Amino acid sequence: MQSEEPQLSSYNFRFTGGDSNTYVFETGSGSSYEITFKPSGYLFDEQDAFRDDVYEFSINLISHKSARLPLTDPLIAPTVVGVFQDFHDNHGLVVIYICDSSDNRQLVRYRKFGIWFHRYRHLGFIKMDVEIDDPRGTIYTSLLMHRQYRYRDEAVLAFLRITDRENPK
Amino acid sequence: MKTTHDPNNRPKPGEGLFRWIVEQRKLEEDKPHEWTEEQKAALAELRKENAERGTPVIKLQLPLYRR
Repeated sequence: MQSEEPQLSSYNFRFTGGDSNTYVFETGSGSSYEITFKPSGYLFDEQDAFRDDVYEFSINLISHKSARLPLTDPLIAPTVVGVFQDFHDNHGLVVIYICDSSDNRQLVRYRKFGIWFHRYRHLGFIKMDVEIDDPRGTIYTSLLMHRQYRYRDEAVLAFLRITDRENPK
Repeated sequence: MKTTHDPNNRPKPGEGLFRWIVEQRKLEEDKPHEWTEEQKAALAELRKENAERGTPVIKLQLPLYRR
């Protein structure tokens, strides 16, 4: 796309901390987003060495100026990736992503997340996807970490273990 | 402000833990969101930076029936 306006590669963001390790950013159209990394070691067993490195990652649209939902903004994906990298650089982390399914658009989010991951795969992160069958709808979840993460293999096996318990078939 | 999961009422893996997480998140989202003072200040700075840097206009391809 050609544009005469200055090109941005992503929006600036700020880490504002708190219990959920919150980042905020605002789009050019005035939509405010919050990205959180909630400590979630409880998902794993106490003996798992990487337990303190585990965070649940979520992206939330908090407010937008327009009465209509914001349209797809190509700068959001690189901004989210920038936040992810920033948090990773400051905490050796294992991330669990669980798609929000409150509005039955979880499959759309899951696919979009997969597309973003594929686009930025050169950054060295790996992703493992598991679908959990649930009477109220499939829960889509992913495990993400850096390829060089020291407990990579243990984390993969432990993620399979906990999701197998949820998904015994 | 969002808090970490309640450790007291959480099911174990295999007992609907992931569904519980999704439901807890929904409960949190349904509460009115209040920015902290720090977050308000951060957003004000970011808004200023967006304005200074300029934001590219995203040109939309409208569906045929809306042209």
